[in-house]
Amino acid sequence: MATATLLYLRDYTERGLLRRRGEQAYQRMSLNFNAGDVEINLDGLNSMSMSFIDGIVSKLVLNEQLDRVTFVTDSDRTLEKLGTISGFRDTPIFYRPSEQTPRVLVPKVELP
Amino acid sequence: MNVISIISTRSPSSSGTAPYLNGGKKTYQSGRSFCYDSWTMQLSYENVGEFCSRVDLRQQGPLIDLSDVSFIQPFALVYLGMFLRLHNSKGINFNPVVPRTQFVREYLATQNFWERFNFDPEIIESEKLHRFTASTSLNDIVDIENRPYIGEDIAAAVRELLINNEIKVDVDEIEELVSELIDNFERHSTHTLAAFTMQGNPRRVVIALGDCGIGIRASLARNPHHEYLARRPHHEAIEMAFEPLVSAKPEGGTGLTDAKSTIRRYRGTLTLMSGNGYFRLTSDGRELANRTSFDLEGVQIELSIPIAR
Repeated sequence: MATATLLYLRDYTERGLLRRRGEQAYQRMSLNFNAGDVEINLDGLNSMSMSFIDGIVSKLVLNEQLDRVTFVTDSDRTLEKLGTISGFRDTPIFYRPSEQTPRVLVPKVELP
Repeated sequence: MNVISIISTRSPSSSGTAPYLNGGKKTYQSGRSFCYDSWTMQLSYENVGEFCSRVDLRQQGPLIDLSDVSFIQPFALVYLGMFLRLHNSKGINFNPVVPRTQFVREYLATQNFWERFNFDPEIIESEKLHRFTASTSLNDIVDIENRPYIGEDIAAAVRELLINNEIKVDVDEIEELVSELIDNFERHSTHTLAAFTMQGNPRRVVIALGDCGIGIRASLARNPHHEYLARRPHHEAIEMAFEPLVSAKPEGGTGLTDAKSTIRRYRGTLTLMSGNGYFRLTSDGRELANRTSFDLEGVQIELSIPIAR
């Protein structure tokens, strides 16, 4: 069984606040998306905005790569942001809380 | 903690009328309370445009008379700053009459107002004396053109300010919020100047941002999906801007959606004005949108976030 490539987001961007930073991080990681399944560990950045994460997710959606990606995070806030993006983009996003746990769907968060 | 520039306004009346248009609300500063009715002149968004338009720019060293101003709302200071900066950049230097009200002099000095706009060095030196000994305020008027990471820079300054003054908020969330909002200005405004001000105290943080760009409606209408908004009232376009993925850009945006969600969680308030429309999120979670009685160039946002005790 092929193992997924594990990427640490902090290796691809210094900061996680702006959409364009997310898009840049996607570009830097993008070579890895052609090879097979990819896991992206989101932890390790000081702050991570919704726009930044959506900058990555929207590019993955655009290039039909999102279903091969699993986000790794043990942060409830990051998970909530992923859930919100999953909700308003109406697209399933997979995550795992640590690198050892199985991949599950991010629970969608509906905005009030 | 040094509590210096403390400005918060009570929520506007719940009648659904535009914010800041009517008097009768009290404003608190440094623990003192002021009655609106006793003020000579409150420089607010209702009147700052008119105030600036009355400055006679044909004169050599046009007079800018602040003598009767007894309170300046953050929004108004942002607007006034952009007016001055714009004309400074055209080689026009203003001849000011300083406010009579001590509080306003303190506030302007704390905001480094006099140093920013090529005023007479003697006035700068004398007004500096009104500055407080330390500040929880940040005020910046920045040229955003070709500065794609300006949002990060200002957000980092805000973070430092909050930490240094031990203001008990989630600094990560505030940093994200500020960067998102400024990034929106940088990405969507066609104007190169944007202004930012933040004032913090033990009870709340107030953040105001403004630009003189094309405004929300014209910006959204550039996206073919939202072109129809060009024919709709401003407040309808503003409400739309808070919906997920509604943006001038085809990929959609999340900045304002996330900002509203964060402010709602904090039970804070958010006001956005553009054109002759406004949107307001009240501290009890209600959303109001309607026309204002004035027409505003660009976009102005004010956030008020209560601080946990």
